[in-house]
Amino acid sequence: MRAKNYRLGLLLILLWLMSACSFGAVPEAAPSPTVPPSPTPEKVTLTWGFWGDPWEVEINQRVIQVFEADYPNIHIETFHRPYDTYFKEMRAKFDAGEPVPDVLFWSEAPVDVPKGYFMDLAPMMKTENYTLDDFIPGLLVHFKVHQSIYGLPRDSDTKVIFYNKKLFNQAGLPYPKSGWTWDDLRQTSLALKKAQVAPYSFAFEPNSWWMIWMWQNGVQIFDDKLFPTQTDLDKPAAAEAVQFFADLINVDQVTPPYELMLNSENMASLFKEGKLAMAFGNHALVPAFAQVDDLEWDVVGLPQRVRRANVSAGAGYVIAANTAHPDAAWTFLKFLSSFKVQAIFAEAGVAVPALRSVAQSEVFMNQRPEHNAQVFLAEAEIGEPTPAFPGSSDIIELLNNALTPVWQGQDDAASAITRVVPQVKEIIAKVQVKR
Amino acid sequence: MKRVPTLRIGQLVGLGFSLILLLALLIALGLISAYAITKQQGELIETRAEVESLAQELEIRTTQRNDFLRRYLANEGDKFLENYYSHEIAVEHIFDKISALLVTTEEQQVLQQLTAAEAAADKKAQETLLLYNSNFPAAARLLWATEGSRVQDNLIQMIENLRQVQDKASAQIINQARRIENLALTTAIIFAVLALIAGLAASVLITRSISYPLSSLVKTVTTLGSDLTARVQASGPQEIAFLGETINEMAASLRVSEQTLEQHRDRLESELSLASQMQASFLPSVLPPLSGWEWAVYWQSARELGGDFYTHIRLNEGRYGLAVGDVNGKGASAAMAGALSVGLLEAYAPAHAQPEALLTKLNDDLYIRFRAQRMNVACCYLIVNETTTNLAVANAGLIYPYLRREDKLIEIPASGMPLGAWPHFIYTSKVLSLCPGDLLFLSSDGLVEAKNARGDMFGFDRFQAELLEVPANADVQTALNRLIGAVQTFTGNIELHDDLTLLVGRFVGHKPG
Repeated sequence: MRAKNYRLGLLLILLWLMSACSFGAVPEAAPSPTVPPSPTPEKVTLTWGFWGDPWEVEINQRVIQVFEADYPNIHIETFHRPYDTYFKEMRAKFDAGEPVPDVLFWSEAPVDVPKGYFMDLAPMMKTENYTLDDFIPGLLVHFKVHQSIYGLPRDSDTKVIFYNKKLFNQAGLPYPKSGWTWDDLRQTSLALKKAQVAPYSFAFEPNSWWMIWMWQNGVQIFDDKLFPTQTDLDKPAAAEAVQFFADLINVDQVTPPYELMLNSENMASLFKEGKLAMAFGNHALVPAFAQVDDLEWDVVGLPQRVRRANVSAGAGYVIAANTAHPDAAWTFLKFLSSFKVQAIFAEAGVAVPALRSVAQSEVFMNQRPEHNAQVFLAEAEIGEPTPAFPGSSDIIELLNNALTPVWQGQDDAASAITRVVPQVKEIIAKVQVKR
Repeated sequence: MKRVPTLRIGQLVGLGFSLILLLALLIALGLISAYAITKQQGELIETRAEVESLAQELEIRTTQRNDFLRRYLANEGDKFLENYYSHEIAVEHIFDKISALLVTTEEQQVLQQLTAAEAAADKKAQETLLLYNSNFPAAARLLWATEGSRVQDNLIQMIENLRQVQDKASAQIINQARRIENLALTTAIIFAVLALIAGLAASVLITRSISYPLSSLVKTVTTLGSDLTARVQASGPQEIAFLGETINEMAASLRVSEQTLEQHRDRLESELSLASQMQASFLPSVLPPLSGWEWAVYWQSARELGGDFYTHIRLNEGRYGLAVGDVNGKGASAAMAGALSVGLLEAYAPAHAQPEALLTKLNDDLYIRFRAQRMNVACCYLIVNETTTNLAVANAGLIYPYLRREDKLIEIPASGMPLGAWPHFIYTSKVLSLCPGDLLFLSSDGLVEAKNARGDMFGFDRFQAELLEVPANADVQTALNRLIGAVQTFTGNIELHDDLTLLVGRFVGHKPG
């Protein structure tokens, strides 16, 4: 009896303790997190192809250092060529099936997309939910074809007018202001000439960029910049625009001769030396001007005519379709388009950033020497893409050749344009047939 | 001797105590385990508090670290970079401490996120410093101000997540602790109630098994006081039943004794009754019709047999002797002594013309008889005469006789040692001349010593007062009734303490001639 009671007591105590323990739910220790062994990534070497002046090359080398510090398993080698030969050589390699850089600096990609040079990045972007919101929209146009996207823009090739403040001060003239017109440009140039503060009042690149003046004068040139069906080059406004700037060379004689303006480096030299009061150009000139200590300069937007217009042609990075390392190349391309590298380029002054966040940051806005960086952004916002369709470069070259005598004062614009319009239309027709 | 059976009550009480102790032990165990668990929860809460403190420090350190790097990038001095690194080390230490304190799966997950956020912050700082050192200070500042700020925000968010997990865990722990406390309390109350019920049940059982039989025993034993035929119902625990059986045996034995005693008593009562009748027969039922005298007498013994007596004896020449006696003591021995004394008195009286001579004779005779028993007899003896008014009185230890003459009360101071108390005592007589109407009172001491409920004696003062209150012309029976009535009123329903005898005589006077 007693033994029975004892056993019963023990059982009750045991039950009690069990019930108490079950309520006492002490947080159980978590199993130590098991980290799956990550495979040691194989070291990959990529080649980065680009053009650019020595300063830009140096900046690119420093960008590589930063990248390799962030991604030790990817080594970057460079392939540098001058702008003049870069595209010709690359296209030849692509066409010949020779090795090309994995990641390339490129412009007007849509022209070469049909040839299958570049890798479509859209699927990877979709997979990674990569967002393009921060890019200036007009710049993405140069890398998009239909639903595909073949590259990411690095910068905006927006044109502005650099002006030498000292020369204006010496001439007693007010600085050009936003919203000025072609007539303002002409009158200012004449006034500068009259003041004799510098040999040249104004300089611009005659080739190719006549299209900006035509746009400003209400000419579309092509009804569609990627898939044109017709041209309005035969409009009088087209010839009028060219003639206005040709007259600045030949009639008003406020610019350097046509031959001196073919190379932008010549214009930069003239401006740096104080021999030129106003220079048409893009942000790439800033580092060169910044190197001159006593050069006081600022920028103003392009003068307008019928409307405001500018070019949004910008260069960016693409991946060669035949790259052996698409993932590493995509990683590098994302890095080059990243906020960080955009900030590097902005600080280096080599370009107007393609990312709004960087372009609007103090890195870009407070560049030294002090100038109105906002002008680049304002002009970029009204930028229009250059025509980019198979044959567009042929048409531009055709017109460049046709207009050369006009710039040289040996022909009038209307005649020159009228002569080539049939050929232009012929090329457009061919493009349509091909498509 | 009978062997006492095993103590079943002891087992019952022991079992009850064991049960209560067991319940108490369970309650104690429950409370102890609840206390232990609650204490453990308390320690966990302390751990949570420590983590919270570390999280707070982590937030401060990382925020400061972020700011130090910002100031370094703003070219405010190398010391800010040093501060940045010192905070970096402090942050690592905090991480080590926190890692050691986090145990749950959820906490580990948050810790992993936090560690990842810290790694991202660290990586971003290194990237930023690389930019800075690569001569891109503005880009570095921008990067730190934007992405650095983002990783820092993320880090703060992760710290906040940790806090929330901690808060949640703390809340869960507190709730668990409360549940356990409530459970322990509820269980303790339930067990306490069970213990109480068990105790009450045990108490009732024990009471029923012990008290009821015991109560029955008491009741029966009480009944046995008056009825030895009553018997105990032998029930309940063995020891009680055993006790009951023993009592029954004792009662049976007592009953036998009682029956024997009853027989003795009956015989004694019978004998006593006979003796009482005999004693009564010794006393004259009617006092002699003496010329010139009226007599009334009251006699009551305190028991069946009394020590008081009275008698009268016809002497020669128209004289009569009257005596009232009182043997010291009561009962049969006193009655026998009284009978002897009366017998001798009546035998010797005719030969002794003077009262003192009779008493002297009786004293000498009785001394010899009573000496061994140290008995004695108070006796007042008087001789009246039918022809003269003389009254001779001798007294051997009885209270003085009283004479009421008109409204005066005369104490007749006749005295002497009680008969048989002292050898050769010489008694003297008092001779009084009576007047017609005189009332004579002779009383044993039972009258003045009669006691009421408070123990007060009737006493001489009341006796004398009552004697004076007797109407002068009252007849003797009326006077006697009045006096006895006064005594009975005084004593109430208290039985007589002593035998009582009162003799009242009135001298009405002799007829001439």
